[in-house]
Amino acid sequence: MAGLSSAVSFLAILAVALGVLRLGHIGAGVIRPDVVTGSVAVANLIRVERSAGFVPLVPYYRPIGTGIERPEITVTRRELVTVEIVWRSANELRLLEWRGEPMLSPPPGAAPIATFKESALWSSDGRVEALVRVDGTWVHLTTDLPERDVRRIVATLRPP
Amino acid sequence: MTPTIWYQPFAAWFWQVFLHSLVMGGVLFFWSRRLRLPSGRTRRVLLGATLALPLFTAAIPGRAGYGFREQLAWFDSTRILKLPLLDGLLVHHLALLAAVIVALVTAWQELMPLLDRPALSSGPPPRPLVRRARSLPGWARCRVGLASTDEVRLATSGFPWSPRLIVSRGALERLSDEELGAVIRHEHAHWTGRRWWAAHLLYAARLLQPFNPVALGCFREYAVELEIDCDEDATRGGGGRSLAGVLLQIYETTNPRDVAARGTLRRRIEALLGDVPRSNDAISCPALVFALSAMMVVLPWLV
Repeated sequence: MAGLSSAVSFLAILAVALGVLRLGHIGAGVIRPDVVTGSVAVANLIRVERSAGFVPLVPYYRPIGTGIERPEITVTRRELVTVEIVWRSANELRLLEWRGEPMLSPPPGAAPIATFKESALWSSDGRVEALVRVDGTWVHLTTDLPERDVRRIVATLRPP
Repeated sequence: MTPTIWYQPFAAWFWQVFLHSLVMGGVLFFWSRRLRLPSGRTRRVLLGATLALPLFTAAIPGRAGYGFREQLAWFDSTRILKLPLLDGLLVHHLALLAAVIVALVTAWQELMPLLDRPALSSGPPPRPLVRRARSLPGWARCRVGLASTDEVRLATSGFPWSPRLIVSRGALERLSDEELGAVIRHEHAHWTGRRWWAAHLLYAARLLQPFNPVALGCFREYAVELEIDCDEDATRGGGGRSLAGVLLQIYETTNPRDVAARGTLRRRIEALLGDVPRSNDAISCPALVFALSAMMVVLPWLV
C-alpha cells in the first residue's frame, strides 16, 4: 500500500512537471511566434514579412502560363528562415528565398546570368533552375518554363 | 538566431543531457521531499540514476531532427532557448554561460583534492599497520603507504585487484588503537559490496557532463551518502563515537575554504551520532522501478 501511494505521488509530480513543460512549449510560441520552428502557410505576400522577418522578392514579369491565381506561400523557420512562393497553372514557377549564406551550390557547368554578380542558371530533368542573389536575398527558382522566360523573370525580381 | 551547431546531434546531446537531468532531478527532488526520503540506499539509487539515465535518454537517435521537434516532441527546448532576454542576449547565451561556469567549478573541485594531497613518505609503513590492513577481507594484497603530513589523513586508491591504503604520520601518532581501527574499517568499506565499481562508474558518468550543474550536485550528494554508508558499515560492531571523534579532528584541520569537504564531514558526524534518519528501503522496489521506468519513457519526448 505504501508502494502504491509513493507511486501515485510520483505520477502526480511527473504530471505537474510535464504540464509546466508543455505550457512553456506552447506559451513561448504564443508570446514569440518567431521561436517556433516548422512550416506555416501564409495567406498573402503582405503578411510574409511579419512571419519571415524579411520582404520576399517577386517577379514583375510572369508568363501567362503560371496563372492568375494567388500563389501558395509557405514560410519555414529553421536555422534559416525560407519563404517558398509557388504559382501553379499550365506552368509551374517555384521561388525559394532566404537571407544569409547560400543553402545550395549550382552544379558544374551552370552559366552565370548577365547583370547579376552572384548567379547561376542550369537545366535539370527538363526543368530550368536559377540561383541568384538580389539585395542580400537568395532566390532559387525552379520552373518548367523556357530559359528565355527565366532570364526575364530573374531580371524583374523586386519587393512586392 | 540559434547557431546551426545547436541542431547537430552531438551538440544537441550535451544540451539534452542537461535538460533531461534537470527534469529528472527536479521530479525526483520533489518526490523525495514529498516522501521525506531519509538517507540510505534508495537515495543513492535515485542520485545514481539521475547521473546516468540522461546520458542514455539524450542519446536516443532521431530526436535532434526537425521532424521530431516539430511534430512529436512534448517539449522543444529550442523555443525557450531562442527567447530574448536583453538587447541581443538570448536564453541560450545564458545557458552557455552557466555551462562554462559549472565546467570551471567542476575542474576546480577536481583540482582541489589533488593540490591538497599529502606527499608520501619514503620510509616503509609500520608492520602492525600493514598486518592490520591485510587482515581485512579482500585486502590480503593491500599496499600500505605512509603520508608525511602531521594532520590526520586516511585515503585509499588503486583498483579492486590492487588496493592501496594511505595513512598519515599524524593519524598514527594522534589516533588511539580503536579510532585507527574504525577509520581503516571505513576505508575498507569503500572496497566492499560493489561500492568501488558503483562510485567509479558514476564518477565516469559525471566526467562526461562537467558542464551540468545537476550532475555536479548529484555526484556530490552521492559521495556524501556513500561516506555515510561506509561509516555505518565500519561501525556496525561499535566504534561510532570513536569515528565521529576522528572526523571532528579532521574537520578542525580542514581548510575552511573547502566548504564541500567540511560539509561532508559535518553530515557524517551527524549521521554517526544518530542525528540523521537512515533507511535503506524507504521506497519499495516496485515503486522505485516504476518511477525510473516512467522517467526512461518520458524523457526522450523532451528535446
